[in-house]
Amino acid sequence: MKALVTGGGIICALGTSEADVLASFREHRAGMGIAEFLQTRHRDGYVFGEVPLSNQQLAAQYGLSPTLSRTILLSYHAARVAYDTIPVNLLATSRVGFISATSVGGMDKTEQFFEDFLVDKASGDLRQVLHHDCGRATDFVARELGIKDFVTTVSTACSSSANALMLGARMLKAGLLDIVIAGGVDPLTRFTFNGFNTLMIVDPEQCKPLDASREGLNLGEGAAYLVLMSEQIAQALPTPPHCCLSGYANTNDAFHQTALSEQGEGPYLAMQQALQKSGLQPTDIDYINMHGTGTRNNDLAEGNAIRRLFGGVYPKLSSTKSFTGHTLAASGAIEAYLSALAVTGGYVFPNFSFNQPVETLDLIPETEFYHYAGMRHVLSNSFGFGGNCSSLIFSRT
Amino acid sequence: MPLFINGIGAVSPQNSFAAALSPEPLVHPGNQLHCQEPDYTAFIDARHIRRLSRIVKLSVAASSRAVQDAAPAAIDGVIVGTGWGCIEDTVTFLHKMVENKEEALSPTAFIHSTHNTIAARVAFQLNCKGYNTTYSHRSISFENALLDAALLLAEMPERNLLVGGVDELTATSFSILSRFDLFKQPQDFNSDTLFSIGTAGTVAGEGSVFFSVSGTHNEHSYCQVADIQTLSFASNDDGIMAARKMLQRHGLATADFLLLGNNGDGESDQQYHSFEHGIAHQGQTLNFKHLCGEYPTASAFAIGLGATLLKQGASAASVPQSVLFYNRSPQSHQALVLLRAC
Amino acid sequence: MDALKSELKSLLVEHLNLTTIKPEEIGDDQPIFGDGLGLDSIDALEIIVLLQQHYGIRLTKAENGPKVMYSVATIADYITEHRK
Repeated sequence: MKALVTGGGIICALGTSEADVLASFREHRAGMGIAEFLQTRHRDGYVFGEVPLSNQQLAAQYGLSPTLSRTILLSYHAARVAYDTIPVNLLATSRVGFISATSVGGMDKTEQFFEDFLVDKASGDLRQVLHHDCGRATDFVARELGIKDFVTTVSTACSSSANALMLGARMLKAGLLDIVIAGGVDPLTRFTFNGFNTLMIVDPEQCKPLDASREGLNLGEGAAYLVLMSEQIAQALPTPPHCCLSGYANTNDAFHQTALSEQGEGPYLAMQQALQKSGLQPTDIDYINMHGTGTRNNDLAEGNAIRRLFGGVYPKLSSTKSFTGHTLAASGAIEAYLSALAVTGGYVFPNFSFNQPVETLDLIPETEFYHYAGMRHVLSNSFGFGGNCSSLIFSRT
Repeated sequence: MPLFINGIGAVSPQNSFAAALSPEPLVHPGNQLHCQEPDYTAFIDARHIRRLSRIVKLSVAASSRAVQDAAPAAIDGVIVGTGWGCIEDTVTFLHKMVENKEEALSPTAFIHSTHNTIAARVAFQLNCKGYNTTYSHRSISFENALLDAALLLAEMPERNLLVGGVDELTATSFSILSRFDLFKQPQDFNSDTLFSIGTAGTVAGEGSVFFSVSGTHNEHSYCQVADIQTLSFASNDDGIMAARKMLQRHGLATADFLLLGNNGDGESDQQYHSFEHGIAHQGQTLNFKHLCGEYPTASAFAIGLGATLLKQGASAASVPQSVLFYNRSPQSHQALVLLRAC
Repeated sequence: MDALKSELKSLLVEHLNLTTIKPEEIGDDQPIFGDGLGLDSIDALEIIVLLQQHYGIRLTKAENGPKVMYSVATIADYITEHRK
């Protein structure tokens, strides 16, 4: 039983709709720039992949309170668009689940609270703390959309929303749900920016994933959700499904808290098992949307894993993080969305720039956005802190 | 549902589940129940302990105990549920970030602040490259983890997985939670009077409980997890109906034991009394939050208690066959878990 | 210089939470990474923070780390050369 992708919603630095996002790739416009809304003293020294709307603007679009965490606002935007693709009559008769993901929850509010709390434990607006836990944004969005059959939040750092999609597919397969909206969200926060900066893996300028001269990642934000349905339920749809989630796998590198093993054992196993799940061979993959953060460690480890698995015969590949920035927990879903688009529309997503391949490897990423009619299967990788490695495969139906 | 508990390990405010079930469990003074912590060098190389936060140490110890208890051939995956995540490291990093105005910050606290640090470290200790994930959804985090395990084992019953429910109580989290008037006043109050003292509020708790589970069982197994269900944004009546249907599905008129999550707060406990009444429970009722306190993954402690009850009871005069667990949270999530003797 | 090295050793033990070793047990020229003292890449980053906080020195390129941070002696030399 394959999980069919029948709709979705996306918001990131490239725009607030699929049309905006595709236009950015067509016009070769990366979303990185000086942050307008993130309040950090390092703001002028770094580029960020910030969503081009303030909290007020995001809230106003849907009549939500502007005091909500940015996490809720971004999540709601993408989830709403995804939800609206489902015919009302199907919603009424189906068991619907909402599986979201986030790494820092409402940290944008928590870090404001701590400014006051640390001075005086009796001060600080408690309403800000209410947004902190990971489940808060998920519950808010689920309630607003009227989803109650199943609600949960995955939190596995940068692979979070890939795991959310995987759980959605598995629950459909087990017959526990009929429709699942799955994905994830993370906002820009001082906490994550400073955290990555202490690890010295942030490039102050436009990042260069998959390039020998790469100096680190650019932090981004956003959210994306895909609508997954069982084949049986999807039969009632007026339009055919976009594609299917034909394979997936979750493994752990078990090497180090923040770095992948140089040979990329976890990534290798994740990709290999995803292929096994889908019944495909490496030669069946037409395009890999790499995790490709632009850090020295990830791109080498992931590259090594790809070389081992594909035996030197590579499909098209790129890192769209060069356009969106690294959106942390949202990255799995944002890139799943792009991968589903790649299969459905035959789009080849490029790297923003490229000069020399990663040292010791011969991986040459695509550098132009173009249409490829032969796109049948796309592999999307998401690797995170704690060695969490997840791979998804989207296929033409 | 092929999901059997073959081993349990915990670091909790009680010395063991057997001791917790005895007539004299550990009683804690005041409104905070902290874990009885072991010497961690028994579980972790002394050179590596230095960097690990308390919640990770709690979990390495608990998971090691579960593995020792079950002695599985191998562990094929680790799934953790945590409502609050790694608070200590998050607060440490936030503190420095504010104090140092975003300069000269320590990476260690940051890298250990992500919720999946717990499952990651447990896997690292076991060199387990298998399935690894973390759920953080408030009071149903552990139930979600258990459900994921059930899904995996339905596909491959011969696998062995570690499933854990973990949350820590720190000075900062207690300080913030207290401002929501959640807890009873500490003076003249011990945990054994939680349900009789009649004042508003509950007690704060923490714990790390891990289960070694598989789709197959043996003579050392504790019990089967026969059913798991979570309800979100549903009414009390929905909860009662779901419980009745669950019992019916498994051919039970009533469970032998009802494990209830009432926490000593009069208003919230009313809902539990209605539930008990609503399902026409005829067996015994056990509370557990006076033993572990109130925290998002207290359900893991409860399941440990229920599983131990069924295993202990296997040699008793009247053998309990079933335990129904019910918990609810003010954030509108309810959880039901049915355990059966195996 | 000896006072600086001694101070560095104490700072390392305290900052990196090295519970199994005393400052005076660290040799001046003992390699602190790998098999020597068993420190790793995260400790290297912590030492960079330490240098900034206590000696006002910024080590901006992580690649320079291995040379500078080979041993207590090399770190002490670097501090002496660069401190403000």
